[in-house]
Amino acid sequence: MIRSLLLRHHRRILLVLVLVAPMLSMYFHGKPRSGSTAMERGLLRVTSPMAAATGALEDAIVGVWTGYVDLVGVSERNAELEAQNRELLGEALRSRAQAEELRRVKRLCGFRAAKSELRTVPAKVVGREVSQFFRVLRVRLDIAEHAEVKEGLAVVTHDGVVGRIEKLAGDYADVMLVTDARSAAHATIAGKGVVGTARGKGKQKEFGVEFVHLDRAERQESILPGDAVLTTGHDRVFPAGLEIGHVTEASPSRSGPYFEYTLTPAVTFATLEEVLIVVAHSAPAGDLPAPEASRGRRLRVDPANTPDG
Amino acid sequence: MKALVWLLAFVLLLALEAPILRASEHAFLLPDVVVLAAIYLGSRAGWASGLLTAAAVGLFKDGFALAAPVGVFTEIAALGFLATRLVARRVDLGSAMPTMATCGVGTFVATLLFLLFEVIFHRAFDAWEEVLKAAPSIALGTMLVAVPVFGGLDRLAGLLQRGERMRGVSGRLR
Repeated sequence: MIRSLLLRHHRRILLVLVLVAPMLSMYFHGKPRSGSTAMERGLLRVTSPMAAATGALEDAIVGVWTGYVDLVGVSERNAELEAQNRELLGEALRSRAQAEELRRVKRLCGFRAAKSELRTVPAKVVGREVSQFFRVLRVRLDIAEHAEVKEGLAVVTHDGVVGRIEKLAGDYADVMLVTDARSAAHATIAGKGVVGTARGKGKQKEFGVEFVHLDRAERQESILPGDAVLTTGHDRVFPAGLEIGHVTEASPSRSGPYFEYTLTPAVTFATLEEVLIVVAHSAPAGDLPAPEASRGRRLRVDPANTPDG
Repeated sequence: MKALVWLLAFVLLLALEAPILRASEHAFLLPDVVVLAAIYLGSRAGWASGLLTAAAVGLFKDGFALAAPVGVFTEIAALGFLATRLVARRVDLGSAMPTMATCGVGTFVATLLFLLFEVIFHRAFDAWEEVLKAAPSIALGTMLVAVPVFGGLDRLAGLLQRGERMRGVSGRLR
Protein backbone atom coordinates (compact mmCIF):
# COMPACT_ATOMS: atom_id res chain seq x y z
CA MET A 1 0.00 0.00 0.00
CA ILE A 2 2.65 2.52 1.14
CA ARG A 3 5.04 1.26 -1.54
CA SER A 4 2.51 1.74 -4.31
CA LEU A 5 1.68 5.21 -2.94
CA LEU A 6 5.38 6.10 -2.94
CA LEU A 7 5.84 4.74 -6.46
CA ARG A 8 2.79 6.61 -7.76
CA HIS A 9 3.78 9.95 -6.17
CA HIS A 10 7.59 9.69 -6.25
CA ARG A 11 7.95 12.82 -8.41
CA ARG A 12 5.88 14.95 -6.06
CA ILE A 13 7.71 13.58 -3.01
CA LEU A 14 11.11 14.28 -4.59
CA LEU A 15 10.04 17.80 -5.58
CA VAL A 16 8.84 18.63 -2.07
CA LEU A 17 12.02 17.17 -0.55
CA VAL A 18 14.37 19.08 -2.86
CA LEU A 19 12.52 22.39 -2.41
CA VAL A 20 11.63 22.22 1.28
CA ALA A 21 14.84 20.72 2.74
CA PRO A 22 17.06 23.67 1.61
CA MET A 23 14.44 26.11 2.99
CA LEU A 24 14.61 24.41 6.40
CA SER A 25 18.41 24.39 6.18
CA MET A 26 18.45 28.13 5.34
CA TYR A 27 16.10 28.88 8.24
CA PHE A 28 18.26 26.88 10.63
CA HIS A 29 21.64 28.17 9.39
CA GLY A 30 20.50 31.79 8.98
CA LYS A 31 19.84 32.19 12.71
CA PRO A 32 22.63 33.88 14.69
CA ARG A 33 24.70 31.13 16.34
CA SER A 34 27.99 31.00 18.18
CA GLY A 35 29.40 27.86 16.54
CA SER A 36 29.15 26.00 13.26
CA THR A 37 26.67 23.17 12.70
CA ALA A 38 27.45 19.54 11.86
CA MET A 39 26.31 20.18 8.27
CA GLU A 40 28.62 23.18 7.87
CA ARG A 41 31.51 21.22 9.35
CA GLY A 42 30.75 18.30 7.01
CA LEU A 43 30.64 20.56 3.93
CA LEU A 44 33.84 22.30 5.00
CA ARG A 45 35.55 18.92 5.41
CA VAL A 46 34.46 17.83 1.91
CA THR A 47 35.17 21.06 0.03
CA SER A 48 38.38 22.19 1.76
CA PRO A 49 40.59 19.36 0.42
CA MET A 50 39.13 20.04 -3.06
CA ALA A 51 39.98 23.75 -2.79
CA ALA A 52 43.48 22.83 -1.57
CA ALA A 53 43.92 20.34 -4.44
CA THR A 54 42.82 22.78 -7.15
CA GLY A 55 45.07 25.43 -5.60
CA ALA A 56 48.00 22.99 -5.84
CA LEU A 57 47.00 22.16 -9.44
CA GLU A 58 47.04 25.85 -10.30
CA ASP A 59 50.49 26.20 -8.72
CA ALA A 60 51.70 23.21 -10.76
CA ILE A 61 50.31 24.64 -14.02
CA VAL A 62 51.83 28.05 -13.31
CA GLY A 63 55.10 26.27 -12.42
CA VAL A 64 55.14 24.33 -15.71
CA TRP A 65 54.25 27.46 -17.67
CA THR A 66 56.90 29.69 -16.13
CA GLY A 67 59.53 26.96 -15.89
CA TYR A 68 59.17 25.30 -19.32
CA VAL A 69 56.71 26.74 -21.84
CA ASP A 70 58.12 30.25 -21.59
CA LEU A 71 61.55 28.97 -22.67
CA VAL A 72 60.53 27.94 -26.19
CA GLY A 73 62.40 30.87 -27.77
CA VAL A 74 65.65 29.80 -26.16
CA SER A 75 65.27 26.20 -27.32
CA GLU A 76 65.01 27.32 -30.95
CA ARG A 77 68.46 28.90 -30.80
CA ASN A 78 70.38 26.14 -29.13
CA ALA A 79 69.05 22.79 -27.89
CA GLU A 80 71.96 22.15 -25.60
CA LEU A 81 71.85 25.61 -24.07
CA GLU A 82 68.09 25.32 -23.68
CA ALA A 83 68.40 22.17 -21.59
CA GLN A 84 71.03 23.81 -19.45
CA ASN A 85 68.99 27.00 -19.19
CA ARG A 86 65.87 25.12 -18.22
CA GLU A 87 67.67 23.32 -15.46
CA LEU A 88 69.27 26.48 -14.14
CA LEU A 89 66.05 28.46 -14.38
CA GLY A 90 64.14 25.71 -12.59
CA GLU A 91 66.71 25.78 -9.84
CA ALA A 92 66.63 29.57 -9.71
CA LEU A 93 62.83 29.59 -9.49
CA ARG A 94 62.89 27.02 -6.72
CA SER A 95 65.58 28.96 -4.85
CA ARG A 96 63.69 32.21 -5.29
CA ALA A 97 60.50 30.59 -4.04
CA GLN A 98 62.39 29.16 -1.06
CA ALA A 99 64.06 32.50 -0.33
CA GLU A 100 60.70 34.27 -0.58
CA GLU A 101 59.12 31.74 1.77
CA LEU A 102 62.03 32.09 4.19
CA ARG A 103 61.70 35.89 4.11
CA ARG A 104 57.96 35.68 4.82
CA VAL A 105 58.43 33.20 7.66
CA LYS A 106 61.26 35.32 9.13
CA ARG A 107 59.06 38.42 9.12
CA LEU A 108 56.22 36.48 10.75
CA CYS A 109 58.60 35.10 13.39
CA GLY A 110 59.94 38.63 13.99
CA PHE A 111 56.40 39.91 14.46
CA ARG A 112 55.63 37.02 16.82
CA ALA A 113 58.72 37.80 18.92
CA ALA A 114 58.04 41.55 18.97
CA LYS A 115 54.43 41.08 20.05
CA SER A 116 55.16 38.95 23.08
CA GLU A 117 51.79 39.91 24.63
CA LEU A 118 50.05 37.97 21.84
CA ARG A 119 49.86 34.18 21.83
CA THR A 120 49.57 33.09 18.20
CA VAL A 121 49.47 29.91 16.16
CA PRO A 122 50.52 29.79 12.50
CA ALA A 123 48.22 28.76 9.64
CA LYS A 124 48.69 28.26 5.90
CA VAL A 125 46.33 29.83 3.34
CA VAL A 126 44.83 27.11 1.12
CA GLY A 127 42.07 28.97 -0.73
CA ARG A 128 40.41 32.33 -1.11
CA GLU A 129 37.45 34.12 -2.66
CA VAL A 130 35.11 31.15 -2.83
CA SER A 131 32.12 33.42 -3.43
CA GLN A 132 31.67 36.43 -5.67
CA PHE A 133 29.88 38.26 -2.86
CA PHE A 134 31.92 37.64 0.28
CA ARG A 135 35.55 38.25 1.12
CA VAL A 136 36.59 34.99 2.73
CA LEU A 137 39.94 33.27 3.05
CA ARG A 138 40.31 29.56 3.79
CA VAL A 139 43.29 28.49 5.92
CA ARG A 140 44.72 25.14 6.96
CA LEU A 141 45.72 25.12 10.60
CA ASP A 142 48.92 23.84 12.13
CA ILE A 143 47.81 20.41 13.36
CA ALA A 144 50.04 20.49 16.47
CA GLU A 145 48.50 23.67 17.88
CA HIS A 146 45.03 24.00 16.39
CA ALA A 147 43.17 22.74 19.50
CA GLU A 148 43.28 26.30 20.87
CA VAL A 149 41.76 27.83 17.74
CA LYS A 150 38.11 28.91 18.07
CA GLU A 151 35.64 30.81 15.94
CA GLY A 152 35.84 34.59 16.29
CA LEU A 153 39.61 34.74 16.89
CA ALA A 154 41.65 37.45 15.17
CA VAL A 155 43.87 36.54 12.21
CA VAL A 156 46.91 38.78 11.62
CA THR A 157 50.23 39.01 9.80
CA HIS A 158 53.32 41.14 10.32
CA ASP A 159 51.69 43.74 8.04
CA GLY A 160 48.50 44.05 10.06
CA VAL A 161 44.99 42.72 10.52
CA VAL A 162 43.65 40.07 8.12
CA GLY A 163 40.24 39.32 9.64
CA ARG A 164 38.61 36.92 12.04
CA ILE A 165 37.82 33.20 12.01
CA GLU A 166 34.25 32.73 10.88
CA LYS A 167 33.86 28.98 10.57
CA LEU A 168 36.00 26.12 11.81
CA ALA A 169 36.01 22.43 10.89
CA GLY A 170 38.80 19.98 11.56
CA ASP A 171 42.08 21.36 10.28
CA TYR A 172 40.42 24.05 8.17
CA ALA A 173 38.92 27.43 8.96
CA ASP A 174 37.23 30.20 6.95
CA VAL A 175 38.46 33.69 7.74
CA MET A 176 36.18 36.70 7.20
CA LEU A 177 38.48 39.44 5.87
CA VAL A 178 38.36 42.98 7.26
CA THR A 179 37.18 44.09 3.81
CA ASP A 180 34.10 41.83 4.01
CA ALA A 181 30.88 43.85 4.15
CA ARG A 182 30.00 42.10 7.42
CA SER A 183 33.27 42.97 9.15
CA ALA A 184 33.66 45.70 11.76
CA ALA A 185 36.65 46.60 13.99
CA HIS A 186 37.07 49.34 16.57
CA ALA A 187 39.75 51.67 15.28
CA THR A 188 41.76 54.81 15.95
CA ILE A 189 44.56 56.93 14.53
CA ALA A 190 47.30 57.38 17.10
CA GLY A 191 47.56 60.97 18.36
CA LYS A 192 44.67 62.27 16.21
CA GLY A 193 41.92 62.21 18.83
CA VAL A 194 39.55 60.08 16.80
CA VAL A 195 37.92 56.72 17.42
CA GLY A 196 35.52 54.83 15.21
CA THR A 197 34.62 51.65 13.43
CA ALA A 198 36.39 50.28 10.37
CA ARG A 199 33.79 48.53 8.23
CA GLY A 200 34.29 46.45 5.09
CA LYS A 201 32.61 47.41 1.82
CA GLY A 202 32.84 43.98 0.20
CA LYS A 203 35.57 45.27 -2.11
CA GLN A 204 39.00 43.70 -2.30
CA LYS A 205 41.19 46.75 -2.16
CA GLU A 206 39.35 49.28 -0.03
CA PHE A 207 37.05 49.69 2.91
CA GLY A 208 35.68 52.52 5.02
CA VAL A 209 36.18 53.80 8.53
CA GLU A 210 33.70 56.01 10.36
CA PHE A 211 35.37 58.28 12.89
CA VAL A 212 33.76 60.41 15.54
CA HIS A 213 36.06 63.38 16.06
CA LEU A 214 36.55 64.10 19.74
CA ASP A 215 36.36 67.62 21.09
CA ARG A 216 38.31 70.09 18.88
CA ALA A 217 40.61 70.95 21.81
CA GLU A 218 41.57 67.32 22.20
CA ARG A 219 42.42 66.89 18.52
CA GLN A 220 46.12 67.36 17.87
CA GLU A 221 46.40 67.00 14.08
CA SER A 222 44.17 66.68 11.03
CA ILE A 223 43.72 63.33 9.31
CA LEU A 224 45.91 62.99 6.21
CA PRO A 225 46.18 60.38 3.45
CA GLY A 226 48.67 57.73 4.54
CA ASP A 227 47.72 57.95 8.23
CA ALA A 228 47.74 54.45 9.70
CA VAL A 229 44.45 53.26 11.19
CA LEU A 230 45.11 50.98 14.17
CA THR A 231 43.00 48.62 16.25
CA THR A 232 42.10 49.80 19.75
CA GLY A 233 41.42 46.36 21.19
CA HIS A 234 38.07 47.58 22.56
CA ASP A 235 36.09 45.23 20.32
CA ARG A 236 37.73 42.34 22.26
CA VAL A 237 38.53 40.58 18.98
CA PHE A 238 41.57 42.35 17.57
CA PRO A 239 44.55 43.12 19.84
CA ALA A 240 45.38 46.80 20.25
CA GLY A 241 47.96 48.55 18.09
CA LEU A 242 47.73 46.45 14.92
CA GLU A 243 47.47 48.28 11.60
CA ILE A 244 44.12 47.81 9.80
CA GLY A 245 44.94 50.02 6.84
CA HIS A 246 45.81 53.56 5.89
CA VAL A 247 43.67 56.53 4.90
CA THR A 248 43.40 56.84 1.12
CA GLU A 249 41.56 60.14 0.72
CA ALA A 250 41.75 63.30 2.81
CA SER A 251 38.16 64.37 2.08
CA PRO A 252 35.71 62.27 4.12
CA SER A 253 31.99 61.96 3.53
CA ARG A 254 29.94 63.15 6.48
CA SER A 255 26.88 61.54 8.01
CA GLY A 256 25.70 63.02 11.32
CA PRO A 257 28.55 63.06 13.80
CA TYR A 258 30.57 60.60 11.65
CA PHE A 259 33.25 61.27 9.09
CA GLU A 260 33.75 58.33 6.76
CA TYR A 261 37.22 57.88 5.28
CA THR A 262 38.22 55.35 2.64
CA LEU A 263 41.02 53.02 3.68
CA THR A 264 43.44 50.75 1.85
CA PRO A 265 44.03 47.48 3.75
CA ALA A 266 47.44 47.06 5.39
CA VAL A 267 47.57 43.46 4.16
CA THR A 268 47.67 42.42 0.48
CA PHE A 269 45.18 39.53 0.56
CA ALA A 270 45.93 38.30 -2.98
CA THR A 271 49.49 37.26 -2.12
CA LEU A 272 48.89 36.07 1.44
CA GLU A 273 50.46 32.65 2.14
CA GLU A 274 50.93 32.37 5.91
CA VAL A 275 48.97 33.99 8.74
CA LEU A 276 48.97 34.00 12.53
CA ILE A 277 45.86 33.30 14.61
CA VAL A 278 45.78 35.21 17.89
CA VAL A 279 44.62 32.67 20.49
CA ALA A 280 45.17 34.98 23.48
CA HIS A 281 46.11 38.62 24.06
CA SER A 282 46.26 41.10 26.94
CA ALA A 283 43.90 44.05 27.54
CA PRO A 284 43.87 47.09 25.16
CA ALA A 285 46.70 49.58 25.50
CA GLY A 286 45.98 53.22 26.43
CA ASP A 287 48.18 55.27 24.13
CA LEU A 288 49.11 53.76 20.78
CA PRO A 289 52.40 54.55 19.01
CA ALA A 290 52.28 55.26 15.27
CA PRO A 291 54.01 52.42 13.37
CA GLU A 292 57.20 53.04 11.34
CA ALA A 293 55.60 52.02 8.05
CA SER A 294 52.74 54.49 8.29
CA ARG A 295 55.06 57.42 8.89
CA GLY A 296 56.95 56.57 5.73
CA ARG A 297 53.72 56.37 3.71
CA ARG A 298 52.16 59.64 4.86
CA LEU A 299 51.41 62.07 2.04
CA ARG A 300 51.21 65.85 2.13
CA VAL A 301 47.82 67.35 1.21
CA ASP A 302 46.23 70.76 1.17
CA PRO A 303 44.87 71.39 4.71
CA ALA A 304 41.74 72.85 3.11
CA ASN A 305 40.78 69.31 2.08
CA THR A 306 40.81 67.97 5.61
CA PRO A 307 37.84 68.16 7.99
CA ASP A 308 39.84 70.56 10.11
CA GLY A 309 40.43 72.88 7.22
CA MET B 1 26.22 7.24 -14.89
CA LYS B 2 25.80 10.35 -17.05
CA ALA B 3 24.37 12.30 -14.11
CA LEU B 4 27.35 11.30 -11.95
CA VAL B 5 29.80 12.46 -14.63
CA TRP B 6 27.95 15.77 -14.94
CA LEU B 7 27.97 16.19 -11.16
CA LEU B 8 31.74 15.55 -11.06
CA ALA B 9 32.29 18.01 -13.92
CA PHE B 10 30.32 20.78 -12.20
CA VAL B 11 31.99 20.13 -8.83
CA LEU B 12 35.36 20.37 -10.60
CA LEU B 13 34.27 23.71 -12.08
CA LEU B 14 33.25 24.91 -8.61
CA ALA B 15 36.58 23.81 -7.13
CA LEU B 16 38.48 25.53 -9.97
CA GLU B 17 36.52 28.74 -9.43
CA ALA B 18 38.63 29.91 -6.47
CA PRO B 19 42.12 29.50 -8.01
CA ILE B 20 40.92 30.94 -11.34
CA LEU B 21 39.53 33.93 -9.49
CA ARG B 22 42.88 34.30 -7.78
CA ALA B 23 45.01 33.90 -10.90
CA SER B 24 42.93 35.73 -13.50
CA GLU B 25 43.13 39.47 -14.01
CA HIS B 26 39.54 39.34 -15.31
CA ALA B 27 38.14 37.62 -12.25
CA PHE B 28 35.05 39.84 -12.33
CA LEU B 29 33.93 37.84 -15.37
CA LEU B 30 33.78 34.59 -13.41
CA PRO B 31 30.63 32.61 -14.29
CA ASP B 32 27.93 31.38 -11.92
CA VAL B 33 28.49 27.62 -12.01
CA VAL B 34 25.20 26.90 -10.21
CA VAL B 35 23.23 28.68 -12.94
CA LEU B 36 25.21 26.85 -15.62
CA ALA B 37 24.46 23.51 -13.92
CA ALA B 38 20.74 24.25 -13.48
CA ILE B 39 20.30 25.32 -17.12
CA TYR B 40 22.40 22.52 -18.58
CA LEU B 41 20.72 19.80 -16.52
CA GLY B 42 17.27 21.35 -17.04
CA SER B 43 17.70 21.17 -20.81
CA ARG B 44 19.52 17.83 -21.08
CA ALA B 45 18.97 15.57 -18.07
CA GLY B 46 15.98 13.49 -16.99
CA TRP B 47 13.53 14.88 -14.43
CA ALA B 48 14.52 13.03 -11.26
CA SER B 49 18.24 12.53 -11.97
CA GLY B 50 18.55 16.13 -13.23
CA LEU B 51 16.81 17.61 -10.20
CA LEU B 52 18.94 15.61 -7.76
CA THR B 53 22.17 16.42 -9.64
CA ALA B 54 21.31 20.15 -9.76
CA ALA B 55 20.52 20.14 -6.02
CA ALA B 56 23.80 18.30 -5.32
CA VAL B 57 25.78 20.91 -7.32
CA GLY B 58 23.99 23.62 -5.30
CA LEU B 59 24.90 21.85 -2.05
CA PHE B 60 28.57 21.73 -3.09
CA LYS B 61 28.43 25.45 -3.86
CA ASP B 62 26.99 25.94 -0.36
CA GLY B 63 30.05 24.08 0.90
CA PHE B 64 32.48 26.21 -1.08
CA ALA B 65 30.77 29.48 -0.06
CA LEU B 66 29.93 28.98 3.60
CA ALA B 67 29.42 32.70 4.17
CA ALA B 68 25.76 32.28 3.07
CA PRO B 69 23.36 30.02 5.04
CA VAL B 70 23.66 26.41 3.87
CA GLY B 71 20.80 25.66 1.45
CA VAL B 72 20.72 28.97 -0.47
CA PHE B 73 22.50 27.63 -3.55
CA THR B 74 20.78 24.22 -3.28
CA GLU B 75 17.40 25.97 -3.47
CA ILE B 76 18.55 28.25 -6.31
CA ALA B 77 19.85 25.22 -8.27
CA ALA B 78 16.61 23.26 -7.78
CA LEU B 79 14.42 26.23 -8.75
CA GLY B 80 16.70 26.98 -11.71
CA PHE B 81 16.40 23.40 -12.90
CA LEU B 82 12.58 23.46 -12.70
CA ALA B 83 12.41 26.86 -14.43
CA THR B 84 14.70 25.62 -17.22
CA ARG B 85 12.41 22.60 -17.76
CA LEU B 86 9.58 25.05 -18.44
CA VAL B 87 11.70 27.37 -20.61
CA ALA B 88 13.11 24.45 -22.65
CA ARG B 89 9.60 23.67 -23.95
CA ARG B 90 9.52 27.01 -25.79
CA VAL B 91 13.21 27.87 -26.32
CA ASP B 92 15.79 25.78 -28.17
CA LEU B 93 18.53 25.45 -25.56
CA GLY B 94 20.66 23.45 -27.98
CA SER B 95 21.63 26.57 -29.97
CA ALA B 96 24.15 29.17 -28.92
CA MET B 97 22.18 32.43 -28.77
CA PRO B 98 19.12 31.18 -26.83
CA THR B 99 21.49 29.40 -24.42
CA MET B 100 23.50 32.57 -23.82
CA ALA B 101 20.36 34.67 -23.37
CA THR B 102 18.86 32.14 -20.94
CA CYS B 103 22.11 32.04 -18.97
CA GLY B 104 22.23 35.84 -18.75
CA VAL B 105 18.63 36.14 -17.59
CA GLY B 106 19.08 33.10 -15.32
CA THR B 107 22.05 34.70 -13.56
CA PHE B 108 20.07 37.87 -12.83
CA VAL B 109 17.14 35.82 -11.51
CA ALA B 110 19.55 33.71 -9.41
CA THR B 111 21.08 36.91 -7.97
CA LEU B 112 17.62 38.21 -7.06
CA LEU B 113 16.75 34.85 -5.47
CA PHE B 114 20.04 34.94 -3.58
CA LEU B 115 19.19 38.40 -2.21
CA LEU B 116 15.64 37.29 -1.37
CA PHE B 117 16.86 34.26 0.59
CA GLU B 118 19.52 36.33 2.32
CA VAL B 119 16.92 38.90 3.39
CA ILE B 120 14.50 36.23 4.64
CA PHE B 121 16.93 33.84 6.31
CA HIS B 122 20.19 35.70 6.95
CA ARG B 123 19.40 38.69 9.12
CA ALA B 124 22.99 39.90 9.47
CA PHE B 125 23.33 40.34 5.69
CA ASP B 126 23.82 43.90 4.46
CA ALA B 127 25.98 43.55 1.34
CA TRP B 128 23.09 44.38 -1.06
CA GLU B 129 24.97 46.92 -3.06
CA GLU B 130 27.98 44.65 -3.69
CA VAL B 131 25.78 41.75 -4.83
CA LEU B 132 23.77 43.94 -7.22
CA LYS B 133 26.93 45.58 -8.60
CA ALA B 134 28.52 42.18 -9.24
CA ALA B 135 25.42 40.76 -10.99
CA PRO B 136 25.97 42.20 -14.54
CA SER B 137 29.60 41.02 -14.74
CA ILE B 138 28.71 37.56 -13.41
CA ALA B 139 25.86 37.37 -15.94
CA LEU B 140 28.27 38.33 -18.73
CA GLY B 141 30.79 35.72 -17.56
CA THR B 142 28.08 33.05 -17.38
CA MET B 143 26.84 33.92 -20.90
CA LEU B 144 30.35 33.78 -22.36
CA VAL B 145 31.34 30.42 -20.91
CA ALA B 146 27.92 28.75 -21.28
CA VAL B 147 28.38 27.64 -24.90
CA PRO B 148 31.90 26.12 -24.52
CA VAL B 149 30.99 24.47 -21.20
CA PHE B 150 27.74 23.03 -22.57
CA GLY B 151 29.58 21.88 -25.74
CA GLY B 152 32.24 20.15 -23.67
CA LEU B 153 29.66 18.44 -21.47
CA ASP B 154 27.68 17.35 -24.57
CA ARG B 155 30.85 15.80 -26.02
CA LEU B 156 31.46 14.04 -22.73
CA ALA B 157 27.89 12.70 -22.71
CA GLY B 158 28.31 11.58 -26.36
CA LEU B 159 31.50 9.68 -25.51
CA LEU B 160 29.78 7.98 -22.57
CA GLN B 161 26.83 7.01 -24.76
CA ARG B 162 29.12 5.63 -27.48
CA GLY B 163 31.04 3.60 -24.89
CA GLU B 164 27.79 2.16 -23.51
CA ARG B 165 26.60 1.28 -27.05
CA MET B 166 29.93 -0.44 -27.86
CA ARG B 167 29.72 -2.47 -24.67
CA GLY B 168 26.15 -3.46 -25.62
CA VAL B 169 27.20 -4.58 -29.12
CA SER B 170 30.19 -6.62 -27.88
CA GLY B 171 27.95 -8.21 -25.22
CA ARG B 172 25.42 -9.27 -27.89
CA LEU B 173 28.21 -10.66 -30.14
CA ARG B 174 29.47 -12.81 -27.29
